[in-house]
Amino acid sequence: MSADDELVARCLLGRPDAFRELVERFQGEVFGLCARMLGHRHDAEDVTQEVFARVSRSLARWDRTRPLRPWVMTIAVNRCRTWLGRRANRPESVDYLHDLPDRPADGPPAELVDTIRGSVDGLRDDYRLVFVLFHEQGQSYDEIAVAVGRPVGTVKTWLHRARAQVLADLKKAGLVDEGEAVSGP
Amino acid sequence: MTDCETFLDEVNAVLDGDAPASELATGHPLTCRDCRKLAAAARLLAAAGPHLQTLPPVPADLTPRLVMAMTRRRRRVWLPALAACLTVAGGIWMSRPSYVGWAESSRPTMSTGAPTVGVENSARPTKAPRVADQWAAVASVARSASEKATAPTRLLTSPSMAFAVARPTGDPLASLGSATRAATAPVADSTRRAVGLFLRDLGLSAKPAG
Repeated sequence: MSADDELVARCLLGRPDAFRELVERFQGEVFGLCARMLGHRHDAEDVTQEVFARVSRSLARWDRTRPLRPWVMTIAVNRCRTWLGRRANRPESVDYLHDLPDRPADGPPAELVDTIRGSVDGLRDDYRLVFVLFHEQGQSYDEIAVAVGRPVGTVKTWLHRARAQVLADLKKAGLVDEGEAVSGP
Repeated sequence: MTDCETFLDEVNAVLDGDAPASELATGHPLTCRDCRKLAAAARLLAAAGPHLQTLPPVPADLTPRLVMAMTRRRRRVWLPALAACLTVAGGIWMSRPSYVGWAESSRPTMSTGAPTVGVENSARPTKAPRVADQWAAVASVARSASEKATAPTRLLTSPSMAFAVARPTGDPLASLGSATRAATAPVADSTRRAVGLFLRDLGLSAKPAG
């Protein structure tokens, strides 16, 4: 019995400690995804709560032959999509950056990270979703494909387009120093 | 496929982590200004990658809310419903005229004016106690089930919410005989509470009491 399997079995028995363990294991990624997709902290909290309520209701239907994390993220993605579908306006600028841990001194300039995040915020929902899952949450193509319910090829296409847009925005922002890249003709 | 398109694939390979960033400094970009810029931007994105993976902190009060959301959803609402059904079915059965008749007329009565009625009822004086025993057993099972089903609620909600019930406007047992009411008294309150919680789960409850 895998760790996921054992955890779900305890949840199905109604053990509160198991629920807490499951929440603590996935809340960071789920809340992070919701915050990036919805652009609003309170919306992200509400949707995160919906996600875990739905996870709880659907646990008995989880396929034990598959890992738990992509399944949870699938629910999170679907809830975000539903929420975005309900919301007519574009997300407001999120202020979660102020809550992020301090960046290390040897990291890239804050301007670069902020420009990338701003560019990602401007992507269309599908592209933003795969970019966040890949670059910000470190998920593999296979996991993302499960989470978004699309073939891996589609995920790659979306991610490449998202990157192309972000790279274009970096160039537009004047952050790219061509001379530093290579020395050529 | 042009050289620029091929180079774009190389850029994506680097950003996927399948190739080192140093590959962007050789080959086609040396002769293409646009791809040189693209390579520079890709190296910036690759360098910022680890720093993008800082998740926003989860609010301190969110974890208990999430745990509560999960446990509340898993509460087995069918148990209160079963207890309610048992009580209603039992009440209907016990309110049958035939049952009320011989339960309350186990003592001799003159209401019908027919002396044979008392004689007929006295021919089965042990039925009422037997039914009362059966009813007590049913009541015990229903009460046990409803208490088990509602136990998590007491832990998860405030006392005012735990005892919030949708009370009916009238006494549903009013039409029953006194003996029946006495028999149903132990289970009536817990069942009423279970039904109230069930309705609250369905979003039909009015307001929490208290």
